[in-house]
Amino acid sequence: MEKPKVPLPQIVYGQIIYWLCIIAAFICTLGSVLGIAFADKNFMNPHYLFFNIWGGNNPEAVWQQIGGGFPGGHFWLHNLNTWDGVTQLGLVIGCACASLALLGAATAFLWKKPRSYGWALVTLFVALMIVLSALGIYHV
Amino acid sequence: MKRLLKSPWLELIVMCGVVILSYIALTLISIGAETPPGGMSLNNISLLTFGFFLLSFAIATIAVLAGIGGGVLFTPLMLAFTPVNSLIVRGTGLIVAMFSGLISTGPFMKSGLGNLKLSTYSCIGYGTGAFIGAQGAILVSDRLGVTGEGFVRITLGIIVFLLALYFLRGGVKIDWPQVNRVDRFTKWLNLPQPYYENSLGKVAEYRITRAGLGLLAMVGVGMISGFFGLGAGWAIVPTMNLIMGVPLKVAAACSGILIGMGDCISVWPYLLAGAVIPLFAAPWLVGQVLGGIIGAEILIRVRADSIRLILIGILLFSSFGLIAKGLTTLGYIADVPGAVYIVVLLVIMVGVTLGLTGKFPALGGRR
Repeated sequence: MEKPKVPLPQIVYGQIIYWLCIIAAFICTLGSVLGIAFADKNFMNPHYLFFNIWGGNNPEAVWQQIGGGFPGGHFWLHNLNTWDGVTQLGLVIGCACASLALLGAATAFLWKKPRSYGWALVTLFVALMIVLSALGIYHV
Repeated sequence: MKRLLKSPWLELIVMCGVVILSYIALTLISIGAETPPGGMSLNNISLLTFGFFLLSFAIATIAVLAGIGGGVLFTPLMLAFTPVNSLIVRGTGLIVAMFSGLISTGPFMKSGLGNLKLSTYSCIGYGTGAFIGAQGAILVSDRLGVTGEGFVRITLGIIVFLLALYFLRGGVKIDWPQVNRVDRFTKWLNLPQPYYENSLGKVAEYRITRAGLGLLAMVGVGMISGFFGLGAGWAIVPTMNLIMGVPLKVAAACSGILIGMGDCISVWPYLLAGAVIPLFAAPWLVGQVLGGIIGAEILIRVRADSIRLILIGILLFSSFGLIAKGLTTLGYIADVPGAVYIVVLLVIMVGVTLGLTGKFPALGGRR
């Protein structure tokens, strides 16, 4: 039996998300394992970090006591020479992947004939919500 | 053997290999490693993170099957059995909920079981509702205080329980809803998309109706999610299935896709506030990604009635949690110990397993 053809925007969206998640997971695995193995090469030393988290401290106290204060959600930008900075990069890739995938899907909606301008707009709108949230402008 | 060299098995094997080798290396490094005063030993950190990975893997497999975010299982477990701060649990819980949804998106979209139009359409309502709900939470806590919140939780718990009963009695009508009439707006949106149903060995065509009402309901679901700060997978599947007439398996797949998409919006405030701590969240993320792929592959092949049974279990557990929390908030009962939650979860899991294996015919599994 012939299987129905899956629309291109759907394939584009699914594949971008899937591979970005795999990349994010790969970076997070290496970042966290190397971060734990080489404790000094981190923004926050994992020995004290896990001790503090397991001690029930709130995030503010954890960052304050070990890192001297929270440097901001995009601290990875200036800390890619540390393993927790690299791990944060993995997290950021994963948390932003839907916006990139939605941009890809919108392009596919406009590329493939008959073009779906309405659906391209809908996907772009959701992508915008994610981008604004990542910038700290729109949040739920 | 050739199959194992193709996606998704190839990347799954590579990733599992990397994870296992990494933890073996960590264990070897931790032998004889010195622990700085006032810190946790490397051996304990390794064991802890590997445990997190395994637990996350199991949670993701179950969550994807039911079309829910793993946060429903993760948050009570972490709050009940670990001393970790609730804000860190909530932030990491969003990562848990989000990544099982995100990774399962790939297989669902490729197989046609997922529906991008339906998911993005629903995401507009869900995202808007979540924003309103979060603002409402601040307003209501100012005006009604804890009493109002307690009553809302109990009401919600009763609704969820009634939904579970409806799903229990609904049977085939819920697995494959009959849509007799499609309104003009829904027809104009052109949402349905046929797909090859593996469990039946044929192409499944379905119709969708009441898209306008569905969008409004999604706003409501989003409001509940934003108001209580909880995942809403348990509400997304019934909304799509009961209001819009979406087949249960498609609804479960789209719910996962929607959770992944929607949580990409709601996770950022936690990331930007420092509640997601990289080295703590990473093992959970990796477990979700690998478990999510397995869960998605199972969902594509499994029968629709199995999904209904798993969903009933999740609804019952959520209902118990909401009512218990509501009664505690109102001061009628003391804090429910974590062990009670686990016992309830185990009893429900036994019931679902019996239903799935056909040993509990009243649940209607394996017809």
